[in-house]
Amino acid sequence: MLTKLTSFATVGLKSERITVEVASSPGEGDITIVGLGDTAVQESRQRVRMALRSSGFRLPTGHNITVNMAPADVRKVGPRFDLPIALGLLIVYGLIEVEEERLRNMAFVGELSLDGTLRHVSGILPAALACKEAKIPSFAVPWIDGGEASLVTDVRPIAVGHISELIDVLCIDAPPPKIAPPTTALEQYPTLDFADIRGQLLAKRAMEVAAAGGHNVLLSGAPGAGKTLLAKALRSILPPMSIDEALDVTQIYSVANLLRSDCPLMRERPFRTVHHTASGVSIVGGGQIPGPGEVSLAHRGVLFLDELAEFPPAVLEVLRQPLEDRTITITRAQGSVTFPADVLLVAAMNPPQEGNPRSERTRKRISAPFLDRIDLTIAVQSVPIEELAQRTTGEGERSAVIRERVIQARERQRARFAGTKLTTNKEMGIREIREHCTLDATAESLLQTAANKLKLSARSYHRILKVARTIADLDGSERIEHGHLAEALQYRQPLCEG
Amino acid sequence: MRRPRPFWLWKKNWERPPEHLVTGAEGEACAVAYLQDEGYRILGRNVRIGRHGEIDIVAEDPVDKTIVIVEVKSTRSLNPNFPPELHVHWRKRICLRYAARKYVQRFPEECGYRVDLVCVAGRRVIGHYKEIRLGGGEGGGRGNRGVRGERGYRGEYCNRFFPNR
Repeated sequence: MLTKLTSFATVGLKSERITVEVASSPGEGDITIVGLGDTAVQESRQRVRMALRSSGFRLPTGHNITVNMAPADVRKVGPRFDLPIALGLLIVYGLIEVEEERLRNMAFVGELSLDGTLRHVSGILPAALACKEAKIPSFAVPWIDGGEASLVTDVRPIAVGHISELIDVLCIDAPPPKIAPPTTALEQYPTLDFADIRGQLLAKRAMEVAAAGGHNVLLSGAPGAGKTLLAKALRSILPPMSIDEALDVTQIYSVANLLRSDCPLMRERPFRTVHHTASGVSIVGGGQIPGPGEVSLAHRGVLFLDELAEFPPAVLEVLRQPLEDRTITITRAQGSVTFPADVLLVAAMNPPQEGNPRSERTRKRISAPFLDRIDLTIAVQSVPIEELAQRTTGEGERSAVIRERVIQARERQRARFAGTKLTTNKEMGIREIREHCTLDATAESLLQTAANKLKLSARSYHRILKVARTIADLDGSERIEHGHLAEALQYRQPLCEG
Repeated sequence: MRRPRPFWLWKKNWERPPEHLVTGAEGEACAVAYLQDEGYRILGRNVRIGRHGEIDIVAEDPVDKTIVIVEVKSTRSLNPNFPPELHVHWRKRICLRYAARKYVQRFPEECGYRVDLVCVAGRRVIGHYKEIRLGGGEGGGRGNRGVRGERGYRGEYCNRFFPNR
């Protein structure tokens, strides 16, 4: 006897359709699992047998069982095939009767516990998307992952807590348990507000520009000047994610198994802080079975590198390509995987000083090509103690106000790039820059002189134009004025003090 | 001086079967009664296969309708430190595996089977282990050497004890 069930395996960020074939023949009673599964897949034999026993089934003896997972050349990882294997065994043993049609219209993913309950597995959202693509109408998942599976429209999620519930759904067409609606809890606004930061008007403005255009920022300033505070406050002025962006980010977190079960959809932009001891692989992703790294986990959000000068040069060089291409392709002997890596990089460092040998080292560590990819370089000045002590002076702008402006600017960008793949100014290529960043004569001459004086590279030249475009967007202006360009040039300060 | 007569030529030893064979036969009778109580149909007893192979009881499972090759191990003592299952030596496993695979080949149609162990101590069945693992991989017959490192692997010891296998 033979039966076929559909499941999904995670390959990179995508899910691949896997057909789990279960067949039996008379024999000694062995269970063989073939199809390039790892140890967790091999061990599912014991889990499945025990789970079925404790769910009240008596497994007959005298059958040799072969489980084949096709296509056989895709590496299958993890215990997610327990559920289809268990159902296949029950059907092959003749313990349950399921209509062929119903079996074909359902996909199964889930890990079995020894008592037959279903446990959480990673990568449910990509699997549900693949399910939709494969035109399979329903998708059986563990109860915990029901919210995640229900994010995809056109696929009916069947979230069950125990395998016997699923058998009821399959055999006697019982209604599946209701999925708890995903908590659409309001985004948790970060407690740190821009109004709480005294002074730092220039730096605050630069953060606003960065948030509006998605530009990379380098904050350089004396210890204790408030660099880290500014970076953390950036969270509070980032615009909310659209549903598509949120789905993108959720997929990455789902594959990395970092999704919280109580909020299946990531509504808040990620903010990843990386310590300077992090390895290159942990930042860009990798491993024997390539998984996403920090730069992918910060997709559509902020990647914050504190103490930039302490990072090993090799690690920073590794970031160059993803910063430019906004994707990262990891190639291993097993194959290559592409992860999205559209991040807003915020770096903070203490400025190197002339004549200090340690500062010489600092300057060597951060290469010019890396600095070239940073649009806004800001010297954060220490706030005088007198100003800090004054409690009566008016507070700065609240984050909510700044955020409103940022959202307006982003809207303007989206309207401009309507019909193309772009959404923010930082994604503009040469052609888009030529089209959208036209300068008038005075501005043109200003840029000429600045470029000659600062010895700008071609990339820097274009980046300044992009920043100027964002500033104009914040201002609500269709054209880049002289003032916008001047402000953009101001954000390209030399790294070194005096 | 004449050497004394060896003990196996003493008269009392050939007038009745040896003690261990008596124990075994009693145990098998107990096991048959137990299996019949459980609803098994007895298909054969003491089926000899080849030179070393002997199946104590062949039965049919009442629920699965599969053939059950039953190995009976008996002791007289009820000492829990020396239970009957202790005496399923790996040499016995090789024999049993071979015998079971040979036996099911007698049926014209393909049939599933399993190997059970029934333990008898002091003329009472004290354990029934279903579907015991005998080691060895796919296939059967003389060529099957089992899995290296597993019990029942046909290595140097096997050759020493069963030079003809």
